[in-house]
Amino acid sequence: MSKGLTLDDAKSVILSFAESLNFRIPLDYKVRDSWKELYGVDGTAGGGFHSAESVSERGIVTIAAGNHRSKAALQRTLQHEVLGHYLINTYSPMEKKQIIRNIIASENSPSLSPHWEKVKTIYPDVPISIQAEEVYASIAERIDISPPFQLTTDNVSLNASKGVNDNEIAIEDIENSILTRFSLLKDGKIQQKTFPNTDVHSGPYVGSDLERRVTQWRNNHGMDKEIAKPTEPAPRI
Amino acid sequence: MSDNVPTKDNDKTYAPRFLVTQEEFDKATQEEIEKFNYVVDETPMTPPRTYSIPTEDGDE
Repeated sequence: MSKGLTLDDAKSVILSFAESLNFRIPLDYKVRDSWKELYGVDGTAGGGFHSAESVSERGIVTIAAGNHRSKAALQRTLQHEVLGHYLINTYSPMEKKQIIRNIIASENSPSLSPHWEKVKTIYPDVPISIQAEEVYASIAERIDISPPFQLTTDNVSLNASKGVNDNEIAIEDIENSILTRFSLLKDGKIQQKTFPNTDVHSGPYVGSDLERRVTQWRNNHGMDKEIAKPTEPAPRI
Repeated sequence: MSDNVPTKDNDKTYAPRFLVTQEEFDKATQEEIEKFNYVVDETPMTPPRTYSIPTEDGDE
């Protein structure tokens, strides 16, 4: 047994968290002492999010209780997984795609660049759209959801926002988005709309990004010439 | 935004279910089983591509 939170401590934090959302989220929780007990491999991670496949199913949040040294740390993990990964999927696929684009467009903005640096260090090899969702979840981790908070316009998915770039958004836009949708979620006014088969990560956007990086790699390795097509076998005479 | 409109599921709530091992289920009291809505699930899971990393106060 690790020196982290006990299973009982973790379950109690999770129940309080679910209650703070008025039990509006269709999620199951798999709590184990370690990452190895969850996934069969060692790890120091705190939790993971497994989306539901459809609106009639439940997603799963996994928690490695022993990897958390405090209840506050577990609260942040829950906010990362639920207010980050679940909540961003309450947008429609098109809206989520726009949010992801906006976050990518803001990679070098002063308020988002520290989050981008952290994500790119941890996940250098995942597609950029997944990195952008991690930026969103990373911001959700530390947002203060204790009321009262001032709800403002949710403009995180809009085409034009503040900033130099047309699509650029600031950290405040994302925080406002999370708080607004947190409130809507508590009132039962929104539910998950984007599922893995309609997610930006599985669509052509990721494909085109992959293609761009493949092209870049080929250019960097002197492979920019067209690859010769395999020749057909000579016809028999 | 399109989903600011209340849906017919407005009153729907979901008691969190805790997916536990058979051993944990067998050791639990009836009170615990009901409080935490225990369901036995020992299905092996594939690690997610991304995950959260616990941070303590003062980290970052």
